Formats: sequence, structure tokens, C-alpha cells
Amino acid sequence: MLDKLDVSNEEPSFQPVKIRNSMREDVAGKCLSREEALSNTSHKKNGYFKGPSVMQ
Amino acid sequence: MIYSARDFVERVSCGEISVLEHAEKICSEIEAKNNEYFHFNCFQKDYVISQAELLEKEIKKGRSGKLLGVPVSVKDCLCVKGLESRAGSRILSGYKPVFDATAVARAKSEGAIILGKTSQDEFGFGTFSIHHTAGNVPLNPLDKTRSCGGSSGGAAGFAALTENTHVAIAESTGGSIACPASFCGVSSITPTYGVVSRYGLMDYTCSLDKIGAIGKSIDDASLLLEVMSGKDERDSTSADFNYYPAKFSKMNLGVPTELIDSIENSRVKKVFWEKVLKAEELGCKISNVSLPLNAKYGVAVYYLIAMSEASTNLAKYCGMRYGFSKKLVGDFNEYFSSVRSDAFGEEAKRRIIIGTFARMSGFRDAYYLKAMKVRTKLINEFKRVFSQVDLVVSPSMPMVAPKFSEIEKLSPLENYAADLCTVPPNLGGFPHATTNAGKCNGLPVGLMAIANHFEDAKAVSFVSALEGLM
Repeated sequence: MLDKLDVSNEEPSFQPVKIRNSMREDVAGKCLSREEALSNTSHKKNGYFKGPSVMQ
Repeated sequence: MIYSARDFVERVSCGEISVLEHAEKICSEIEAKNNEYFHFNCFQKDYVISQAELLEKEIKKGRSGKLLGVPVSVKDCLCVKGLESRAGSRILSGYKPVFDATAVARAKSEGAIILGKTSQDEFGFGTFSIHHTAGNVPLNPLDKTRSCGGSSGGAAGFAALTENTHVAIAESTGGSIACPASFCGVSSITPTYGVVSRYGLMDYTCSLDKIGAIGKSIDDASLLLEVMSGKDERDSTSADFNYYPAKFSKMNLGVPTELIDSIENSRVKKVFWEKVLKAEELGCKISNVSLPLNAKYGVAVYYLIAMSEASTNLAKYCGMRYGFSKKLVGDFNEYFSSVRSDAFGEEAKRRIIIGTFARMSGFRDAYYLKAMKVRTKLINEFKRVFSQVDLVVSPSMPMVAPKFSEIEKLSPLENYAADLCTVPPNLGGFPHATTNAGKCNGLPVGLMAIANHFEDAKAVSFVSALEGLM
């Protein structure tokens, strides 16, 4: 259906509104504690997430 | 009598209304009605009352706020600290965020009382709030055999049902605020893309998702938007723009010919036209405008973009870090596939599969990139119209709230076609305010006013003036 339209001169709109580069200063801010990050999983071990096996 | 949010705050501030007594009243209402209408996926009376008790003490010490004591419901797809937040999906079962979404945090900072999480389609995948794997299907307060609309069905349903002051935080990707507001006969605002931070939103489509507001009146929704809007460094796409309501002045309105012609329900069109013509009493001029590309290609472009982005957004749900999980059996592929097969619903799977196909090597340029380029054409078409008129006005939905038995008979394509009116402004990120235009056989018909980017206040002021004529 879209093939009927000529878009050869159009730029893609990856966002509907023009957005300027919005980089912030490269300074670490407040982030989640380890306890908070792990509070929603039942798969954890020694303070890390525990995932399924990678190698048999 | 139900006070508007602004009246309510004034009365709380001068001690005429006790926020604790009001919170107890609305909790009793939810306890009495939620098992009948299912507008809330998560509601805990203790959670609400503890906020009200604390706020009551703070008010006595002089606390103020734009939403002081106003009960605010939150769509299930926004994170609320400590409250199970599932976005209508089983894959997020048991997930209790450790932080608030920015929109929620801003409402709380202005004294809002968070009521709970409102029901929705899974991750927003639907027009009728019937596609979910967590919670229940919300029922329309005007007729329980009919849909509330989607995907913010619980939000609009409760806004219509409640006999207390309340505003709802909702979210729209392709029409998920305007649609349920239309079906339930309440008012809504979907702001310009980026006006409200998406931080803490469980995204459906990053380039389309917008957090907005639903209320019994447009002024209630406007107050909530005013509180939620503004730049947030946690969302790089948030705009450096604060929304404030504006005074109404006479406007030129454009009615999109092709879109109106595409609507088959003549009774919906009749109710819409009767309401639009009343705008002449406000001094507005009405003319026809043309949006042929949006009418013809909008829905196709929308679903290509939405499904493509959804398929990547949903990749993070794998049963490891939060939400639904199983015993760790098998390798990564086996475990993740098992979790996702069990916990995603049929519509979510359909969208992930179609979206993944559209992004595959060899197809990406033909589908996803092409859709993005067509989106540019559709946005430019709107921009040309906004050089002629202030607002584009149309029905919010091409139909009234359908019966669940009617929805069952729709094919997926017929389902998607219902988004005909709401997709164009959503695809272009244009702000739109909606109100009830009147009734058709006892069921509400919505009217939608669409404005150019960042002219949200213009659309709201028009709808507010229109509501003032009632």
C-alpha cells in the first residue's frame, strides 16, 4: 500500500517533533541501590541476578 | 455535588473539605463498585488512606499544592512506587516499582492522592480494553455490555463512574486516551509528544507514547497536565515546555473532509456536526480542510511503526529481573521463550511477530524506514493545514462504544481500522483535546480538537469554551 507513495525526497521522522541533542554532563547521578535493583527478582545469588545456563 | 478539581483544592485549602474524609468516601465507592466494573487493576484502601492521613497533617501545617488532596488514578503502565504495576500484562506479575514515574512524582509533589492502577489493554495493545493477561476487562458505566474503549479503559470508565472529584493519568500511543474518553463521555487531553516525560512509563512505542489526562471536564484534565508537563533530564525526548491553560479567543476551525467521508456511521456524524456548529456561537469560523494522505495511509503507517518499536520494547521482559518468572530450566533461549510464551497474550505475540518481521534485515528499509518517511509526509500535510486554520476538529471515534459481542466478530484488521480518527494526530505527535459532543441512542459521541505542536492550550481553551456552552 505504501509503495504507491513517492518518498524519495523525504527524511524519516524517527520522532514526530524535532528534538535537539540533549546530552547531559557526564557525571554519575543517584541510581538504584543493589538491594532495590534486586528487590523484584526471585533469581539472585551473591548480590547478582542469576540467569539460565549459558553453557551446558 | 461533584466539585471540579480546582474548586476542590480551594475548598481543601480553606479547610472546608477534609482530604481524609474525601479519601475514605472515594475508597468506599471503589470497594463497592470495582467488582462490578473492574476499572482498577490494583487498589489498596490502606495505601490511599495512609497518604490522606499524612497529607491532612501537612495541610494543618500549611502545605499547599495545585492538586491538594485530589484523588488521582494511574494507568497500569506507569510505575508507582510500591504498587504492583503490570501494564495489563501477566509478564509483569508481582512487579512493584522502586521508583515513581515522573508524571506520578509530579502529581504527588502537588498534593495528589494516588488511588491505584487502572485497567488497560496489555501494554496498550488495543482499542477496546479487551486484550489483557492481568486484571479484568473494564465495563462501560453507561452500559455494562459495552466496552470502555482502550487502551486507557479503566481510567475513562472510572472518570465517568465516580461521584467524587478525581482525575486520571492516562497514556496514548495511537488513540488510547481519546478513544475511551469518547466511549465513556468524559474529557481528555493528549499533549504534544514530549510535553510529559515518559520516565517510568512501560513503553509501547517510544516515538508515539504520550502521557495525558482524563477528567469529568476538560478543565480537570488541564490542571493535571499543567502539573505533569515540563522538561525532565531522565527522558531525553522530553520537551523544554511547560503547559499552562490559555484564555479562549475566536478561532478558525477546519473539518477534514476525507476523514469525515470515511466514517460510515451517519448518526455519529450528525451528533458531531450539531456540536461543531455550536462553535459559531463562540465566534468561530468553520471550513473544510483536506488531509487525504492522513486519511488514506495513517492507520497503515501507524501500525508498522507501532509494532516495529513494540517488538524491541518488549524484548526486555524475560522473567529474570522482575515480573513473571519460572524455575530456571534450560538455556537462555529455552527459558526466555518459555516465559514469554506463557505470559504474553495473543495480541502482544501478534504485534511482536509482525514488528520483528518489519525490522528484519532486507525488510527494514521497505517497511519500517518507508513508514517513517511517509510519517514525514503526513506531518507536513497537517502543518500545511495549520497554516490555514487554528484547529482541526473531527469525531474522536467513528463509532459509539460497541458491545463486547460485536467486538468478538471483528477481524484484527477491522479492529485496527477503528483507530481511523485518532491515529493521524497521534502519529504526528499533535496535541488533541476531546469532549462529549452529545449522545447517539444514549451513548456518547466524542469531539476532538487537534492543534499544531505545542499549541496544546489552544485546543484545550476551545474545548473548555465549548463545554461552557452546555
